[in-house]
Amino acid sequence: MTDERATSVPAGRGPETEAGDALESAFAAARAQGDPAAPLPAGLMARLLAEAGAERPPAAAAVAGASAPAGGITAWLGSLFRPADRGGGLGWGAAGGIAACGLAGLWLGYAPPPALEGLTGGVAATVFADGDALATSELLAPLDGGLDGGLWDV
Amino acid sequence: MEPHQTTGEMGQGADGRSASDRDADLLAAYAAGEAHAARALLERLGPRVLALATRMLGDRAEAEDVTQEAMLRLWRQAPRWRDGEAKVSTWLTRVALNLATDRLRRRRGVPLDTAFGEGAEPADGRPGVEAGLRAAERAAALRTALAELPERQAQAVALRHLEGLSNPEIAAVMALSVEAVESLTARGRRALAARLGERRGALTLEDGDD
Repeated sequence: MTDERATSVPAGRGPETEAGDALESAFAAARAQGDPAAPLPAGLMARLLAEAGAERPPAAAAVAGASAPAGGITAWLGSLFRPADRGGGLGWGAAGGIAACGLAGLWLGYAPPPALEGLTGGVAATVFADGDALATSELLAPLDGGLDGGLWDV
Repeated sequence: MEPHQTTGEMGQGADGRSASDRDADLLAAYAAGEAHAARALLERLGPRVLALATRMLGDRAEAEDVTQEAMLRLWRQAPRWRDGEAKVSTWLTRVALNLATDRLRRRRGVPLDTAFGEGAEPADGRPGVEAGLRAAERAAALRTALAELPERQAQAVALRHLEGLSNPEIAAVMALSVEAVESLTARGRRALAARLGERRGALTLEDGDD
């Protein structure tokens, strides 16, 4: 914007007119070097858009898709076991993995291998033999023994 | 003296939303991840930021750097933006103004030709070349003087006389009262006129020595 208004001189010209004119002229010259009505140069626009893209938060729809769907916890659990291509969160493959982990944990609880037996027994003894005291040190002591004497030696 | 132009924030669109409302809507859309919003905001706000920086610095590359930095700060602010606290354009003007002022003041002590050398640069052989060069010199001299003013005076003068904002608009950008803005611009103008007068006197003496 070349700004023809820049040539206007303030009303009430006084003894400082010459200095005021010089100042107005300098303001006008500086204003003429920047045009707020001109579109951004293409190169600058491209850089600005690239930065905007890099900083842009993920779309709300994508975020919502990764979180629990509407309908509460039951619907969310149900969605985990639907195939992924039907909007399920995990699909049967992942559900099978979860089920296998659960069964393995159940088996370890009923029939632990010898290396784990001392470990779990020590913790259980400490926790359940003295119901008042569940200090960390008491939980860790049998753990240390179990690890030193059993698990790491296997 | 009346402002040279307005910020263009006051108009109402066909949907009854003001320009500043639309800026806020677009920023919210950007924060929600909508890709189109960035381009729209850049088209609406970018040219003014670039013009402000160019007018203050007289150097296109530096002005583009300021524009990039100001917009980057806007993108990063977007998720935390709270509608109603400030107009997006006012906030962005403040950021750009501070960035440009910092660069302007860092030039103090740098030789004039290095710091303020780029001007209108009219092509040789065209009519008005000499006038263009004189205008570029005046603009460069103004920036030299502006860089030496106290920071707030320089900013108020730049917003008033380079951006053409009204005193209430300047007050919003600088978070000052209108009275404080009036005082700053008046003192800034006087100081600038005195410095430009000194420079003219010095140039006259130099010319006389030749």
